[in-house]
Amino acid sequence: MEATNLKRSRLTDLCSVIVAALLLIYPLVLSRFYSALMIEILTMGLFALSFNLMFGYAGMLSFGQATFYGIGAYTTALFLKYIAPSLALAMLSCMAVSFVAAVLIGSICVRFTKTYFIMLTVAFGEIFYYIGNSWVSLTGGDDGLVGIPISRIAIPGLPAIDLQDIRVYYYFTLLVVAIAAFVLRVIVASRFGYVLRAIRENRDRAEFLGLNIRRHLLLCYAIAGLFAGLAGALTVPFEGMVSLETLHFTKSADPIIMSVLGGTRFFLGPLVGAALFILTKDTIQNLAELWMLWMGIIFVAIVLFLPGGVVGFIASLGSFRHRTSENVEKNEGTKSSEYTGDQEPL
Amino acid sequence: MILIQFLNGLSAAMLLFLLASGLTLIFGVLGVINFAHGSLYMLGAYFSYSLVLFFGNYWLSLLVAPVVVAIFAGLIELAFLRRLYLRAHEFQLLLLYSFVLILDDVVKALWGTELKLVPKPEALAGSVEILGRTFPAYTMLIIVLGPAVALVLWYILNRTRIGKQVVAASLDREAANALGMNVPFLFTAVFVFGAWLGGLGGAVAAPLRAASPGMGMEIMIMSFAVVIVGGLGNIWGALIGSLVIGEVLAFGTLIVPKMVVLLPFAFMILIFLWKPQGLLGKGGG
Amino acid sequence: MFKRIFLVLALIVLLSPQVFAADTVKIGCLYALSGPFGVLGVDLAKAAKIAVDQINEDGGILGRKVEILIRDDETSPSTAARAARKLVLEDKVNFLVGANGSPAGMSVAEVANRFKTIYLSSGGAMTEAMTGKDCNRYTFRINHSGVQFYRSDAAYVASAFPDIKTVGGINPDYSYGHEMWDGFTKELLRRRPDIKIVGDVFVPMNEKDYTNYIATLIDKKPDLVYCVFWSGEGVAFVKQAKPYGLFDKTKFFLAAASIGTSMTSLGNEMVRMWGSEPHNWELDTPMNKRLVAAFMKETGKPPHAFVAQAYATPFILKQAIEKAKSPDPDKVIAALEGSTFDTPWGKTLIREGDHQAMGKVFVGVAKPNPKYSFWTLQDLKTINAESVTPDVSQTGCVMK
Repeated sequence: MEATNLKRSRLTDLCSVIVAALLLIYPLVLSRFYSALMIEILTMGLFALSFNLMFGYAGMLSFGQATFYGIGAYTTALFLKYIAPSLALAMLSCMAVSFVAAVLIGSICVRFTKTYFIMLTVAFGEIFYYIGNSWVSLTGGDDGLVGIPISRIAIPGLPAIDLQDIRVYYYFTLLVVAIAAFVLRVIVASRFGYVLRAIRENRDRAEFLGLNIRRHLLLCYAIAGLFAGLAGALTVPFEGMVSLETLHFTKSADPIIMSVLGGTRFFLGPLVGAALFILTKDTIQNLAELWMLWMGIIFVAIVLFLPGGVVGFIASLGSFRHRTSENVEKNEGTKSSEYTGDQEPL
Repeated sequence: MILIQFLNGLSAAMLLFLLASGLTLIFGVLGVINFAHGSLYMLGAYFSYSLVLFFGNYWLSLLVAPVVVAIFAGLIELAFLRRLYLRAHEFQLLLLYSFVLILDDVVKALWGTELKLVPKPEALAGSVEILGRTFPAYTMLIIVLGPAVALVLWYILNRTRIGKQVVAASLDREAANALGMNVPFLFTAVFVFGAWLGGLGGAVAAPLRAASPGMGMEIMIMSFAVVIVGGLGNIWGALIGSLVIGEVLAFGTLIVPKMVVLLPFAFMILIFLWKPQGLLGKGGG
Repeated sequence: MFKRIFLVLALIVLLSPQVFAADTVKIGCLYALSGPFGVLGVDLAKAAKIAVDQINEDGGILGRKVEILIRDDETSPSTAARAARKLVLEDKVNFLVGANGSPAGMSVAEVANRFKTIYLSSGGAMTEAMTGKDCNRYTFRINHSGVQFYRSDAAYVASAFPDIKTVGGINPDYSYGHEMWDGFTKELLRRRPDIKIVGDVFVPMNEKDYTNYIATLIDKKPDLVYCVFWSGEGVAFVKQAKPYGLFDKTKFFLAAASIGTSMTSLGNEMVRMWGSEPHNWELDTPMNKRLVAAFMKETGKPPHAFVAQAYATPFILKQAIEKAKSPDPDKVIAALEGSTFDTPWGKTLIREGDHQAMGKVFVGVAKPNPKYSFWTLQDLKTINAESVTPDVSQTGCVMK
């Protein structure tokens, strides 16, 4: 994680250490309830990160990511219930299944752009929702799958880790999400990641450069699907059940809202957005009934006035040389879109 | 049996058409899929509920409710949507979607969370006998309303000046602008009119399905399928798409009751693979 | 930047006030307060609140005040689970009650078991699994189990309608709808092998337009139709089916606590049909009279469907806690198991082996009632649930 200048790097490092320490000691200080909340933030954060790989970096707005989230969740649950109560194997198989599903679905979707792409993702989302609904013997239909055995991880020599304990599960989730985020970070900083940005900025120009647009977008879509599935998998031991909600259209909207809220042009923006979203929702729900109203209003404000999201806004306040996304959006589609080095190297 | 199922399909098609026509019109001219369209439909139903209580008359409420929805939509377009026309499409979509969230809660706040039952008008509360089968009279109204609206639309788009401007703008926005048409005004007008259609759909559907929060989501997504199948931006496409999907849903219930809801989307994907512009769309979308 | 934000967030989270449990008995209550099932859920929540208020008037439980926290489960298993978790972890309730719909009920039962909090199902989650193969130590069911209804219904239909030859069904397409239909037809055919099942129509859960399905059903020409659409769905169904002539052409049986809600919601728009309810609100018992008076005053409606069960549950908890002399879960479980409690419909046993309550089933016909603005269930046949409930050994429940 390189920094742009020396001064920042010390400050950033200090902050990183503090936050990392906080994340590690949270469950010991906080109640079970807040640990549960943190687990939700981390899981949804991963889901949002996976979405933003497609949206923030490649410019693909998918309204159907719940498909992979749900496929991941159901695969994990079915594996645990019917094949073997081994969480590790279940998660590996879920990632494989999500990846393959994303490749298949993506192969159709990435052929289209903009509105058509969005509509296709919606269509597939609906199809999988209704498949889940009617294939009752597999998914339990409206009842969902209950009674999922939650494994204990037994590493010889160490005491058995009981995943039923919320605090233990928090550390597990933290580990998984941290690794996943790291992998995504590597992807984003690689050549592949830069090609995605190029495609987002100006698709035609990228094509003229000889880049195979479709293959890159398909791979991007597939990776996003894989990590969305992983996020879905994480919910299973926590909830002890899977329901059709994981495949529903509104679930597809969550990562979109979180990413835009946090800031789509920042790598960890979606994670911040997830934290803000879930914490705000929890706070509002304790005070008033209508949290969606306030969330919607905040969102409208962000879309209109802070297109860079919360992180973008805070970054622009600082004295760092930093472009927000506004300029880029305005020029989208026309010749002179400037490529901005807009990734916050955190 | 077939007849009743066919009539059912027809009425579903007409409701879909009311929504899809507005959706496709808005897309054709503004270039954005109105994700909030289902919410406008929902508002139409709720306003209809309140106006029926207020006027004590169903027909008056049917007349007024869509207008209220249209005005409301106009305000949204002027205050919010307009600011985003120069920005990427995605932001317009996101703005519209946030209104879905807002309106769902607003509706809960103003009308409560319980289902609001809207009474049918006296004249149409009963049944009619068709070839020995009993069929609801109110549903006949819906079947008749659809073609009536289609005719009005056709007239407006082809015989009035503003209608022709709308068509021109949908074909080529920049050229229309260059020719001196007031494009921003057209945008607002089309959005308002599309909203009127959606609100009408809600007001008409209310006695059948009751007004409830979130009622617009499913029919809106179904309308997406209709619009794609028919061809984005094409009103006749919306009509044909509605008929196809309405009947597919009606007869699908007889043949594959479990999977019937999948069919419109499977259709949509097939159209994407075969002819992405839709049945009546021109190349390039 | 992100680090700073997170730092701030962390501080916010750390400093947020924690809820400290006062010395009251807290009951977490989950019902459908929104959506199509809200018609019933809202009434159930009101009944529960009335019960708690009356209990406090009477002096509370063991001298302690009772507090009820009411949340919306949206009949969704995930919403219910989340709300239940929050009630247990954040609000620190002592007991959970309610849940509308079997999926929501089952997920609350899971949460109850996981966090070792007693849960009394009182909202009408009737899936047999709850006190069957998925039973658990912490879950009890005050409302009926589906089998108690469909066996009673089948017995009634078999003897009351000797002339019918064909039977059809139209039901919601989820576990509950299937369980009830399968159970009913199996039991009916056992008693009346002469009857032919001509059609079973299942409507997808989120489908609000029943008209296609109604037409399909009418076409099969059944003499009698068995239907378990409940709460607002039942009401919507009746309204939509009426102009298709369904109720003139067939004998319609709206089963399992659904007919009550339809009668109270439809007023004079109600149509002739038969049905079964878990309570007869015209019973002359002191507890029932107290319920009817308070509920009518609050809602203008009589206790329909599981309102009586929702009302009775806090009272059952009171009786159990006072018997156990403590709200401690283990002691209360022991006090609940195998004990008999006072309820508006009489004395009710909670079976030790599967934690299922043995209430009553009232089957009759809906007719206008000159005393009220709504129809009531008349010509009642009363069936003791215990006589139609399979033995614990047959339910598949192994209490762990």
